[in-house]
Amino acid sequence: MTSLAIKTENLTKVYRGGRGTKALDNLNLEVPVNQIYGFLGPNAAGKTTTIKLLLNLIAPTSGRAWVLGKEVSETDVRKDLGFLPENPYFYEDLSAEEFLDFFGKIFHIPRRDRVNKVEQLLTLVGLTEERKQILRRFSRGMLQRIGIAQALINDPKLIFLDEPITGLDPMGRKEIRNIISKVRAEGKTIFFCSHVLHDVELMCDHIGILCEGRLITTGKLDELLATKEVEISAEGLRGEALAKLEGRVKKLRKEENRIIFDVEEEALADEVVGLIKHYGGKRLSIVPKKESLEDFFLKAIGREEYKPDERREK
Amino acid sequence: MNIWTIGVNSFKRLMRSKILYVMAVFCLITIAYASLYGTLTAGQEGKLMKDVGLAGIAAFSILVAILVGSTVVAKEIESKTIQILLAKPVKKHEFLLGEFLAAALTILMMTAIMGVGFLIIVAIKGIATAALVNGVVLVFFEAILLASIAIFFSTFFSGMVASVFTFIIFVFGHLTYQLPFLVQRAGNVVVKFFGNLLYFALPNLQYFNIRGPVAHNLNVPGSMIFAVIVYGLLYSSIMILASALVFKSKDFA
Ligand SMILES: Nc1ncnc2c1ncn2[C@@H]1O[C@H](COP(=O)(O)OP(=O)(O)O)[C@@H](O)[C@H]1O
Ligand SMILES: [Mg+2]
Repeated sequence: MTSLAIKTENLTKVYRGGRGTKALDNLNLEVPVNQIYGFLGPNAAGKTTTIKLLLNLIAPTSGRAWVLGKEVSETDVRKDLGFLPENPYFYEDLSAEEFLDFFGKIFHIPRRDRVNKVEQLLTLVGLTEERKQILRRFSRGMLQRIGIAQALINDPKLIFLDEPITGLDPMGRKEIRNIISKVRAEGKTIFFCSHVLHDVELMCDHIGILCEGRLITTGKLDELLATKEVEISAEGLRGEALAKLEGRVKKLRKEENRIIFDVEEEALADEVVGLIKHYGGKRLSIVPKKESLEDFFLKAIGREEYKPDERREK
Repeated sequence: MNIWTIGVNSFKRLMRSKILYVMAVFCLITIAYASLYGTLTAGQEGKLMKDVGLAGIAAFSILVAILVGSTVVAKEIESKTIQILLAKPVKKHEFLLGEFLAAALTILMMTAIMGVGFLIIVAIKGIATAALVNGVVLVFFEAILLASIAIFFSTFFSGMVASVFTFIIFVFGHLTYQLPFLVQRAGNVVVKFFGNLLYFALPNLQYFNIRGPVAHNLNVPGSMIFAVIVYGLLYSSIMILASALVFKSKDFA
């Protein structure tokens, strides 16, 4: 249990006053420490709801949840948590520096350390120049960055980032990704919510896929995307050889003067390589095939194409 | 500790909002008006001047109390800044007490500026009395009480609705002292029951109004002033406690 950053047991949330939709339906989640855990799912899947339950901002309808080995209702556990909300909404009358200093005080960080910490965080997120600027004048990307700084003020062990990259321009996305990588390097656990598959594919070690309030699959990204298939490329093969080989492989395609074979199983690969040799061809490469996250995701949620903004009908 | 940090932060942000500047101007106008009034009615021992001055300070302090009280918590809920705060090791009652403190500090500042300005003018005219100070002090505690009511309403209504309701309480709070007489005359049991219920639930704000005696240079005993202050603080505490109860099971989604 101590090696788990997050654990939930049949965590369920039905919002009062809504149409009685189950925003979260018996979620059983286990997130190991020292990971970037990507929590994926289309809009309205229940990702934000999960984070709010884990931060005790909303009460579960049923089920239980622990973070860092403690029940989420314990105030003390939040000493080691950080949180970047979905749409940054901050005290817009405060300057960047004042904003961070305020949260430093909330964590009872002594004055001298606080000044250092604020300086260090402003440097990390690249806002040292804008330290005296009022947050009202900040752009979306800058707010996202000061939001991350705010989430790190207490050196948290576990950080919740709710759609930290969504809605930013390519430059902004890259900046945030760099910051997250640096934070990760410090050995923190990051719970990263997103409906943008690309960001998750780039950054996360583990993923979980949530759809309509239910966890569909979870595991190591590498393992989930791994397939038994092998891709073999070769050259110097002629028509009759190809006809022979075609029967042994799953798929065969030509790329310039190379031939690429998709082989169903590793065991078959040796045979195919032998045949290539036999027919006087030259084997160029053998690589295990990986599924794209998008294909995997679509299969998981049982849809043909991914439209993250499509609202759930009920 | 957290209460103080949150309170000072909110107070600082309130001081930066434009509304209070507008109010500060009103406050100056009130004092100028009172002194002008005093000049015109010279010879009446400044009776009218004291009455109008205190009434102006009361009206303005209560306006600030309703405005600040109904926004200080509501704005954090509506703009969701409360979520960031409660995601940190901050208890819900610490948050509420912090915001109440911010409202109290704001009211204190506004009432004090007006009160001191007014007392200076009155002193220049040579008609200052200790009772005037008591009058201003009670205005402050009435404003605090109304701010706590506004905070209570804003835990489940929007800031706008909370301010309207608090204003209604303010109006009726100044009429409750008449309720026992009305209830006595009412024959109907149901009317009697609800009359008594209202009498106990509504704050008796007339306690805080000593303008009459002050203007007529009548002495209000210190023990009475003290009792009214205790009453105000007790009522405010109950309101904040009730707010904490609402918050306990509230979803911040
Ligand atoms: N405060 C709320 N009241 C009622 N329904 C809500 C509330 N917040 C979210 N929901 C509903 O719960 C579902 C999950 O929402 P959310 O957790 O925000 O999803 P995500 O973050 O994955 O986009 C949605 O159907 C949403 O409409
Ligand atoms: Mg969301």
